[in-house]
Amino acid sequence: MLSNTIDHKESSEQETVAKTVDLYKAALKKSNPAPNLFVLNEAAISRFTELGFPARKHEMFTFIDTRKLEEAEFRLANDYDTNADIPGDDVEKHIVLADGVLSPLQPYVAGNDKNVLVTPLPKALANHTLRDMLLASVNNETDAFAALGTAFIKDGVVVEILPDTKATMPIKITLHTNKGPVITAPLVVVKAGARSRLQVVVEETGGGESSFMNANIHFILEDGATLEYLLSQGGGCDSWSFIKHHVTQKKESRFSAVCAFTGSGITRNSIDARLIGDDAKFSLRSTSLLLDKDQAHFHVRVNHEAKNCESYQLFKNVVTDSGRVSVDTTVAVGNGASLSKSDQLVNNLLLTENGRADVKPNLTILNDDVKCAHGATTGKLDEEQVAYMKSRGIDEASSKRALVTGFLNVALSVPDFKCPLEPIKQKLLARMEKANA
Amino acid sequence: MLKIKNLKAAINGKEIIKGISLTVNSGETHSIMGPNGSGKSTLSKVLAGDPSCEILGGSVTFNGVNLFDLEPEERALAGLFLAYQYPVEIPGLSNREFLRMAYNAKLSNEGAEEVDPIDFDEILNEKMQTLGMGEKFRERSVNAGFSGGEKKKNEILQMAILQPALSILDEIDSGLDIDALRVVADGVNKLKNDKNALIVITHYQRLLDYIKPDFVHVLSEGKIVASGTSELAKRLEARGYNDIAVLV
Ligand SMILES: Nc1ncnc2c1ncn2[C@@H]1O[C@H](COP(=O)(O)OP(=O)(O)OP(=O)(O)O)[C@@H](O)[C@H]1O
Ligand SMILES: [Mg+2]
Repeated sequence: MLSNTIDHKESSEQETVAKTVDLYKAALKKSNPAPNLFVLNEAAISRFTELGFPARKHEMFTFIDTRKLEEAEFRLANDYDTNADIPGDDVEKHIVLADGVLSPLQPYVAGNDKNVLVTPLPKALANHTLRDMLLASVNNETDAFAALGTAFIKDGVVVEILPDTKATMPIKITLHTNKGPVITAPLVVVKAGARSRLQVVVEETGGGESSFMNANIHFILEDGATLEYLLSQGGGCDSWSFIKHHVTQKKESRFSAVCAFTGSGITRNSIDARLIGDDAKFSLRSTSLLLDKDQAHFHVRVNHEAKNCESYQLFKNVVTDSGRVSVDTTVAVGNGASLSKSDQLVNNLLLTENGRADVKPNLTILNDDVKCAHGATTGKLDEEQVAYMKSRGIDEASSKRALVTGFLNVALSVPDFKCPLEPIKQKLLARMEKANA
Repeated sequence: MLKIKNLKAAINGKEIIKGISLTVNSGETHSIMGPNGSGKSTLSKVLAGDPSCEILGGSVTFNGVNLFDLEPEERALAGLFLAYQYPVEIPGLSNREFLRMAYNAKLSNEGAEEVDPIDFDEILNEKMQTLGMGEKFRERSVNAGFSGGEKKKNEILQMAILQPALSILDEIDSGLDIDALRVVADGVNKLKNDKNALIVITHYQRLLDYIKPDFVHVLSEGKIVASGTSELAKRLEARGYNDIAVLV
C-alpha cells in the first residue's frame, strides 16, 4: 500500500514536471527569445527537470502546501499589456516589469542620475560576464522554483550603479502581475560598483485569482558597496508570489534589507546570501501582518565565507485569522570565516487559535572563533502592556491595535536607512483597519 | 474625592491588603510610607484596576462613584492616574504617539475635538521642556531602554499631559538623581492645585522636602498602622520602621 502511494505521488510529480515543460515549450514558441536569453532559459528548465517538482516532503518547502500549485492550470501571461492597471500615479518615475516584461511605455527617469544605468535584460546579456554569472547561478540552483522562474524569463532589467558614486534617489521597481491564472517570471539584477551607495525599492502589485509570480532578484555588491533594499511583497487574494533573492557580497560591503508582507495571498521569500569578502555586513529585517488565509514563508541562508563578517536577521510576524507564517533560517559559518558574528531573531504574535507559526532557526559552524546568537518567541500580546495603556485611558481595542503596530514597527526602525519606510507603515496601518473590520 | 473603606485585596490568591481605610479630599497631598513588601504598590494597583489584583472586600468611591464599577480605562478617564513604580516598556510604539492617544482619549471623553499630531507636538514640547526632557524622548519607543530615572520622568510627563484629579505617584523618586528629583518635584508641584489631590508613595523624607504632604501614613503588612503629619515622616527617617509601636 505504502509503496503504491509513493509511486502515485512520484508519478504525479513527474506529470507536473512534464506539464511544466510543455508550458515552457509553448512559451518559447511565443516569445522567440534572443540567443543569450535562450541559453539561460534552457539551462534553467533542465535544472528544474533535474530537481523535480518540490512536493511538501521537500525540506525547502516543508511549510508550504505546493499541491495547489501543482494542480493549477496556468496559462502564460501575454506580452506587456499596455492596458495593465498599475497602481500609483508616479509610474513613469520608476521601472515597471508587468507580467515579467519591462514596460516600453515608462522609461526609467531618475532625475539626473547619470551614474545609475538601467538596461533591459536581453541587451545586458550581450555582456557575457553577466550571462555566465546567471548561468552559473542557475546551474547551482537547489531551489526548483527559482530554476523554474529563470526558465520562464522572457525579459528583465539590470540596474547598475557606477563605482564611487551615490544614487540621488531610490530606484523603484514595480513587479506587476495581471489577474490569474497566469504565471510570470520577472528577473532583476542589481549591481553595485565598488564603494557606491544605492537604494532599491521593489514593490509587488496586482495579482489575484491564482496568479503566480515567480521572481529572481540578484544583488551583487562589489568591495565597499552599500545597498539598501526595501521589498513590499504580496499580491491580491488567492495569488502566489515567490521571490528568490541571490545576494553576493564582496569585501566591506553592506547589504541591508527590509522586507514587508503588505499584500495578501501566499508568499515565499527566499534569500541566499554569500558573504565572500572580509568584513561584509548583511542585515535583514522583516515584518508581516497576516489576515484571512494569508501565508508568508521565509527561507533564508546566509553563508559566512570570509573573515570578520556580520549578519543580522530580525523577523516580526503577526498572525490573525487562519494565517500561517514560517521562518526557516540558517546561518552557515565556513571554515575560513573566523571572527564571524550573527544574530537570528524571530518574534511571532499569534492572535488567534487558527493561526500558525513555525520557526526553524539553524546554525552550522565550522569555525570556533565566532559569536552567534539566535532566539525565537511565539506568544500573545503582553497583558502588562495592554494594562499600562488602559491605565492611561486608552480603550482596549485601540491599545491592542497600537501594540500590534508597534510590534511590527520594530523591524521598520533601521538606523540610517535611506529607502522610504513611511509608505510601508501606512500600508500596514490600512491592513490593520481591515483586520479590525 | 477618594474614600477607601476597609479594603482587602489579594494577588495570586494571597491577601496583601488587609483592611485599609483612607480618605483623600481635593487639595490634599497624602504620603504613604512603609517597609518593602508592605503593600504600597499593591494598593495603588488595586486603585488603578490592575488585572492582577483581586478585591476581597471593602469599598472605594472616587468622586462618589463606586471605583470597582469602572474599567481601568474608565478610571483613568474619570481622572485617576498612577505613576508606576516599574513603568512598562513598549518597543515600537513612539512615546509621542502613545501620549497623543492618551491625550485624545481624554479629550474625546470630555466631548472635545481630538488634536492632530502637529498641534499635539506643541503641547508635548512645552511639557517636556519643563521636565528637562530632551527631544529624543518624543521619537523613542515608550520607556524602551530608558534609564530608571528617565522612566520616572516619563510617568510625570504623562501626568502633566493628562492633568488628572488624583495622582498616585509610586516611588517616583527612586532612580532620580538629585537635580532630576528637584525638576520632577517642581513639575508635580506646578500641577498641584486645590481641585486635585496627590498620593505620594516613598521611602525617603527627601522627596517630602520638595512635595509637602498634609498627611503621612505608615503601611505595614497590608494595614495602615500610623497616620500623622509630616512630623511622622521625619521621625521615621530618624528611627526606621523597627519600633512602629513607638510611633503609634
Ligand atoms: N504578582 C505578584 N505575585 C505574587 N506576589 C506578589 C505580586 N505582586 C506583589 N506581590 C507580593 O505582595 C507583597 C506586597 O508587594 P508590594 O509591591 O505592594 O510592596 P511595596 O510596599 O510596594 O514594596 P516596595 O517598597 O518594595 O515597593 C509582597 O510580599 C510581594 O512579594
Ligand atoms: Mg512598591
